[in-house]
Amino acid sequence: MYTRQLSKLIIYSLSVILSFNVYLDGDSTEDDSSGFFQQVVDNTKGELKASYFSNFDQDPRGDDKNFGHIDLKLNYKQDISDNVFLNVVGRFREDTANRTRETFGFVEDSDRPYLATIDELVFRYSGEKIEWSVGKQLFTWGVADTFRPTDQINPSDYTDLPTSEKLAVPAITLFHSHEKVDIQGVIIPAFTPTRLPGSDNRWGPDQSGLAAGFAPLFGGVTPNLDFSRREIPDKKLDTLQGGIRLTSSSLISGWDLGLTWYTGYDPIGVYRANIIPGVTPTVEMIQVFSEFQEFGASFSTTLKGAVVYGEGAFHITKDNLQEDSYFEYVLGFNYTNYDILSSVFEEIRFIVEYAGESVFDERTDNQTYFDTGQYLRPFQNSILWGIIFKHNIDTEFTFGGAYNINDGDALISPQLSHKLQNGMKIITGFDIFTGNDDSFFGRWDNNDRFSLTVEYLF
Amino acid sequence: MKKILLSLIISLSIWLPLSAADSPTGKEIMEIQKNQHKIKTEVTKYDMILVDKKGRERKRVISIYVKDVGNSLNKTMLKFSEPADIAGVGLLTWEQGEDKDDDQWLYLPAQRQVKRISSSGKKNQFMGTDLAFEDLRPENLQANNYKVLGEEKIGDDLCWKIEATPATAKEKKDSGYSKRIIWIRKDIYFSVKTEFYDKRGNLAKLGTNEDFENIEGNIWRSKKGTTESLKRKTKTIMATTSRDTKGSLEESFFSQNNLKKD
Repeated sequence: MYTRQLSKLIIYSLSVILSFNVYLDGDSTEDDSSGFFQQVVDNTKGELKASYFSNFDQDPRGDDKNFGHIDLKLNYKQDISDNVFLNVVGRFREDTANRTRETFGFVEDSDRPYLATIDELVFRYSGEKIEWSVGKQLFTWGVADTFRPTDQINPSDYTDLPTSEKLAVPAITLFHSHEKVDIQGVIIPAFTPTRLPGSDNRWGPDQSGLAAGFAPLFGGVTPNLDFSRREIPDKKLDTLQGGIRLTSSSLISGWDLGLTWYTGYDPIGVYRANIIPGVTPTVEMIQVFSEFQEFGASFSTTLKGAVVYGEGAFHITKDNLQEDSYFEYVLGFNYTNYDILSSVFEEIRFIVEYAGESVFDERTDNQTYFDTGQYLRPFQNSILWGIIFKHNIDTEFTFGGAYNINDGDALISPQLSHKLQNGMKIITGFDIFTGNDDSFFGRWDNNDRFSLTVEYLF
Repeated sequence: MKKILLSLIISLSIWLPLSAADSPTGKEIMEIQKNQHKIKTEVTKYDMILVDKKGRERKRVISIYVKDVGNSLNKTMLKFSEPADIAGVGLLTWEQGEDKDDDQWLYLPAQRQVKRISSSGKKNQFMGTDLAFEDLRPENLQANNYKVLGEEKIGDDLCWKIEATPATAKEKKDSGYSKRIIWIRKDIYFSVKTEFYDKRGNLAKLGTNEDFENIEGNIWRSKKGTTESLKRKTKTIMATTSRDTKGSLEESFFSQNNLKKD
């Protein structure tokens, strides 16, 4: 099956390259086209990743123990004029578990990753103090190393939890640089939901407990659960999302300060239960997205050779759906030591964060709305860390993880990376989940795995 | 007698300043070296060659943007453009002078985040090269003592031989060097060779500048700089491929937002 899918990927890639050549043949002289083609090649950088994951346990949903994934990104950058710049990232990917959709999409609102997509497409105009960016964009707000409460603009793709990544959103951005303060305003015309793993995915929801909870409504018969429907907010003027970020590195010497405000729809949302009676009753768990506002602040400074930082955000849910209003925060530091075990390691970098949460408007479970639980607010009283042991320019070992103090559950991810040659790197490691079944990490106790990735940059 | 005495006083008063001018102090030489070669803005592109202990070479391409923002302080931005695995990595430094820590930010494209870094780690190796962060910043004249050890010829060029030692408690703690011996060419006030001694007093690194070019007036630059780590037996060669000293860069260019751009 894997060979078949790999062939598909190659066919897709070839068709893109061939169609490009047809365009060149049709529109240009040979010299012009070869010049243009050369320019495209010169301005394009690529990243090819092939990954293999081997889970230690069988998944009750039937997801394979072994999982392969191939991912090709092509990044084209071009100065269109003195002030206008184009950045495009095209992406092709395929896997052995049929997690991708065999269609092309621009807005990432499908429930599965697209086989071919434009990951990013940004036109940027840069004036002396003003900059406009239009297109499908990724943002990073906040200052923390691992968990950033103020970083709210992009939803995530959780179809493979340990390798989850941000999804770019269509946006218009204005950046204005003042003497002491920079202002960034973002408008997001179309909502993009977080991509949650499907019910056939080993990272997906465990339905048995939830289904059993509905049984009393059907005279003790356990209903089927259907998670396929989502109510994505309409693309209208009154559903525009947006935010503002103020940052300064010179208001107080030696401190980076930030203030953020964001209004939009929670990209994870909640489930609304819709009962469909019948011989075999079904409960549709429709994903709906609650509107929220968030006010955040961040700081970062240096202290005795370490970088100390913190950020926090008030998340205020507007609708009366099943979603609390809360304040989440993180405090942390990173520090690099060059003296410990210096005969083996050139440097050891320590990253330690404490993440906490305080609920100030709690909504209780009812028969209509349920929180999505799994991916929402994972770090309520948690320690997160990363220790990077750098042997030399080519080889490093990372010991990363997170521990939830309340439930005693944890994720531990040791990882070794080694550069084989310029541009080619091999990364291998483990993801180990521990804890009770009803805890955040413990629910994936069955998903401990070994991973091996070969990455080639060209 | 009075006349003789007066003549002697006048002669001495003329001779003493001349004598001082003939034998400037270490700090005076370093001041001239730092100030004479100043350019308001400068953009230089280098091929950075890393040579490992087996003699294998790896090439990186790096651009360094510098602006003199007054008070002997610079803002500097450094960006890698090759090879692919470090393309886009950037380092922004706002010098703070005196004994204050510089503001420094690092941009790693994979993380898409500009991160403040601690400049107290200035003794640390920069991106796998033989250069420490402190080697990349301009000489901090307030934080070091300079002593002229004498004169020596390097090749055909007569040089002052100067010993630089950390002057403040902070510099002693933060710097990776117990001392540096610097050879400054007398004719152009430019350093041609530096020996870097580690905290134990052992010679750790050797830096050389060669292939000098005259930019304008008495402003000079070296087209090739080599730093050799004697213990690691590795070398970093910075070969200039282009230099622009005529352009202008606004101070606003040296921002975290620009650090992210290609």
